[in-house]
Amino acid sequence: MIAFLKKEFKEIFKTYRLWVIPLIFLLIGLSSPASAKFLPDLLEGQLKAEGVVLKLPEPSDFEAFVQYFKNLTQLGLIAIILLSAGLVSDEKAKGILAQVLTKPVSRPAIVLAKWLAQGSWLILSFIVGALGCYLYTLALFDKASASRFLYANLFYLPYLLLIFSLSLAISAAMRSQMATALIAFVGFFLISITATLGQNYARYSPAYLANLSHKALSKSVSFSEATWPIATTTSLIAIFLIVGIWVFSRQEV
Amino acid sequence: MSAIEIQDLTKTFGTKIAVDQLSLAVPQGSVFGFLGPNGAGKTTTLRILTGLARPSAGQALIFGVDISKNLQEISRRIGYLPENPAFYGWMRAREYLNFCADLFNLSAEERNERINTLLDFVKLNDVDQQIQNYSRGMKQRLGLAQALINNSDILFLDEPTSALDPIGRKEVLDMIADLSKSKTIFFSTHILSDVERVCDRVAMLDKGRLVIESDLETLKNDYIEPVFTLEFDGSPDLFTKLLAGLIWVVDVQTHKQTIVVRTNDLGTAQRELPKLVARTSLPLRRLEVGELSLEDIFMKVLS
Ligand SMILES: Nc1ncnc2c1ncn2[C@@H]1O[C@H](COP(=O)(O)OP(=O)(O)OP(=O)(O)O)[C@@H](O)[C@H]1O
Ligand SMILES: [Mg+2]
Repeated sequence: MIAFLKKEFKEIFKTYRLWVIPLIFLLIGLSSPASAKFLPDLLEGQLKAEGVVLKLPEPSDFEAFVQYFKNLTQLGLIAIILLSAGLVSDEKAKGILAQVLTKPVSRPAIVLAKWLAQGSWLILSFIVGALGCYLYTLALFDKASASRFLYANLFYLPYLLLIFSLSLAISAAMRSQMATALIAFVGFFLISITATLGQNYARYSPAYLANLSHKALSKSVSFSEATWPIATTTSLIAIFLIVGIWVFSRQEV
Repeated sequence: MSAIEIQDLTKTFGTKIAVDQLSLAVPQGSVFGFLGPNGAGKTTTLRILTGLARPSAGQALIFGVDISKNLQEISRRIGYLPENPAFYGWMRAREYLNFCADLFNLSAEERNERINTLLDFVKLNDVDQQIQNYSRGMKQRLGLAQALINNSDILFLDEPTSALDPIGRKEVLDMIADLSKSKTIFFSTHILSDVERVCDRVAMLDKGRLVIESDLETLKNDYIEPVFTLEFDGSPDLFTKLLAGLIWVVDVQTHKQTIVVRTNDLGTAQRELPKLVARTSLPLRRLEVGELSLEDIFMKVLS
């Protein structure tokens, strides 16, 4: 386990992952307040040129944050799927793992080390992006509610980790990065539609965390409301990993 | 006890039988050449022996231990060089070997000494580039080094020379010869001259089935058939006619000015052929006595 953890962290520091992952989150973090601020102006200008006079409400930090989480769901999660789809499957396809697996190693340790190391880097990148978003929003709008934004992020993070774990688990079971990404997208889609099932079911859904995080931006949300979705998210993360590891452990690599 | 013992090993992929009831014993300390044409099942057998694939039927023992039962124990004693060795491209040689040493929990002194020795042995000690920029030959040599990190008792090598240029091939063969002093080496190949150079035992596989297993000397004696090559200045037709109907001549082949005569009676041929040449008074350029090469035996057995 230690050997694989060491290897994963080294890999993060010596490859594109060191810069690319935080950069993606930082870009989302910075572009969201910018577009919330300047898009209405652009739109008004465009319409005026066409002879329509429209007065859009002055945007606030709230719009910036809403935009941020929207972008996270549309771009961030997709980037996470693409960036983790090859974590195990690519090492299989290239034959790297075959060589390693003839040595006394534990297959679960390989997957868990990836989950811990790459997951940590993901969380760090997520924090970088959120900080960027907060500070830039503060600069553009002169005010930004730190506590609301913090809660919203706390609700969102488990959901993000779930999508990462889903992609990693499928990667452990598959042989190709493409197939992994495709199946993970289907899984992501299925998880996200569970939030639209109607209040009775939706409040147990992991995707409901995204709704809560949106809600937390405008009013206070009690943590008890998040208990269920966090519980299902945690269980799903465990189930995905267990199934992924189970398949990988029985597989001829 | 044999180093490797395979009993009725079978591996199927769907309806395709890749290895078909293979039984083999590899004595300790031998260099065992595992021959066979493309698709014969060599890689599949090696993957089973190293625990990467599971047999559909039959079993394999390494030092008397069943692979399917105690792979962890066995993996400490074996080293495997795959057909296409693959590494983390961002690593350097020393880094990769350190990673492998971690997997075997080698102590600090042990690891440093061994890694230095291995890097010397495979001539990568002054290479300081990422593995992704390595040539095929360098990868092959690093692949050999990683297979030796645990001072393995058995080395499994899958076509270690087939992708290499003649110099690279010689280097790897010299390394194998060197290693054979202390280890059992099981290596697959379809290059027969490699087998002749380093092996003491061979098995030949065709379509998953064992067609020959023997030591190299016996194989050669069993299939030995002296071959005479005569080259003339000018057409050898006159000479060919004289050979017709002689009972000690098995086969005559003519390529331009050269004649290859196979015989079943070395003594008679040695005495008679020069006399026949003299009778034709054709100008002789070359007369050579050779034996059937392993290449010829291979072709003969497979056809
Ligand atoms: N994973 C697999 N799925 C299906 N068929 C396979 C698989 N692996 C091997 N085979 C088939 O089994 C047969 C034996 O293949 P194998 O790779 O063992 O041959 P080989 O002797 O190593 O050949 P080569 O000299 O080309 O390396 C081939 O016909 C191959 O197509
Ligand atoms: Mg092969």
